[in-house]
Amino acid sequence: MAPIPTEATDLNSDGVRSTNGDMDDAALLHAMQGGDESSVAVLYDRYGGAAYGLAHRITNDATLAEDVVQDAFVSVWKQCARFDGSRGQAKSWLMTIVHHKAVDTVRRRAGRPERPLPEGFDEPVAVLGRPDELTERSMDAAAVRNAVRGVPEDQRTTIMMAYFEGLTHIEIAERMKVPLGTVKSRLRIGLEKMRAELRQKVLE
Amino acid sequence: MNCEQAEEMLGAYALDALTGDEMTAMRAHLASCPEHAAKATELRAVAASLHAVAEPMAAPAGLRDRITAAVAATSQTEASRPAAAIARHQPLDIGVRRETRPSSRLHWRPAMTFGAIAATLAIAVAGMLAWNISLRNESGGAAISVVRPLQQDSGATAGYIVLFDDGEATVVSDAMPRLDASQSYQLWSLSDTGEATSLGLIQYVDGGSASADVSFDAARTQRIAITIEPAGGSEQPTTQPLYIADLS
Repeated sequence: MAPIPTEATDLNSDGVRSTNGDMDDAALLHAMQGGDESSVAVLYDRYGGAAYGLAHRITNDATLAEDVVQDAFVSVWKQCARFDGSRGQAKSWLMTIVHHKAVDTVRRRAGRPERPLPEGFDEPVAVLGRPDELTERSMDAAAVRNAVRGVPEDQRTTIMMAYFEGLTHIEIAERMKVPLGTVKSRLRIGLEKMRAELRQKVLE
Repeated sequence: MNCEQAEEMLGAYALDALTGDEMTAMRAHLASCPEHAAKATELRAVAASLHAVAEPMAAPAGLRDRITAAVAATSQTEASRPAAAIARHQPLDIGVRRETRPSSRLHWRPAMTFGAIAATLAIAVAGMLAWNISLRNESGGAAISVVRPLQQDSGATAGYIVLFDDGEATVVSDAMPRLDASQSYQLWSLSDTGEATSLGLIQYVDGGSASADVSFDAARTQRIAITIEPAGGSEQPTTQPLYIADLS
């Protein structure tokens, strides 16, 4: 019996397995920068589920989530020249784009102005460099979820409102009926706790 | 914004939860405070990792095909060049190696790393610069030689000019007000005798920043100036420079 493929395989017209299914993400992005369209499909096979899960969690709407994911992958294709593999992970970049697009979508739907972004839209956060302590390993999903669980509930809820509902700190303060200063502190202290936890994970 | 206020807002900044005015003030602070710039980058990395909290879901059948079709219909080349500079006298084309440039006789400083520069620039500006540098690296590479502030009359910094050791330069700013369609920002090379040579126009790119890639005769350029000209530019400056970078 043929082995069940565990990752993306692309067959060309001769039925030969193409090589980009074996590439790591950085090589895949490099191929994309060279104009290889099939690399986008391979990236989708790897992270389409994660991207859709994130978009759905934010928009809570299957059609909107689908549009967000499609836009995000097309953005990756269009903007891939901006990606610098030596400075970050392709998946992080993709998910940042999905997040921005999904948040913009829900804010538009709610009639709220789009949030200002510190980098130009679609700008990869990864390209700006990351602290050495926060390596790819420390950022795996289980570690992140664990770090989130370690944050006190009021801080965690505040962070989730900012990230998954796309609310500004002023909107969060209104929604939670707490002073703005409290929201600022919860966001900062909560993220700092997560950072400490993720760092600890690296040192283990 | 002072350091204490910025410190308090770092979490909201990392989560893109600031208002427009606050974001502008924060960016200005981060451009001048390496300590907070480093901390902001770190917290942004933590915030960006939150996507892992959402469980992956099976995407609808057909989405892969839609994406593949959309990609096939989307020109990567054009879209990848949002900051392509416009120049009437010297056609410029980011991403494509240009013809031989005049050799530089400026006394360059030792090459700086991108990281050292990024810590001092506003993040939008640093992002554009990173993008630009990645293109340069692809096309053979050129080290950064020197970074000079783009100064207004008041002495305030409106952006930066980054000189590469191959004689090219990138001008980046996120503090130049957008002009209406009848006007353009135009870049000039000024010699020590005041002779002005057009280096082309500055273009806005996504995110509200302005940028241009120029190559110029470094040996004859003492300062780079930016004036406001009628749309499309002028043969010679017709207004006083708004921004000047001194290269000497």
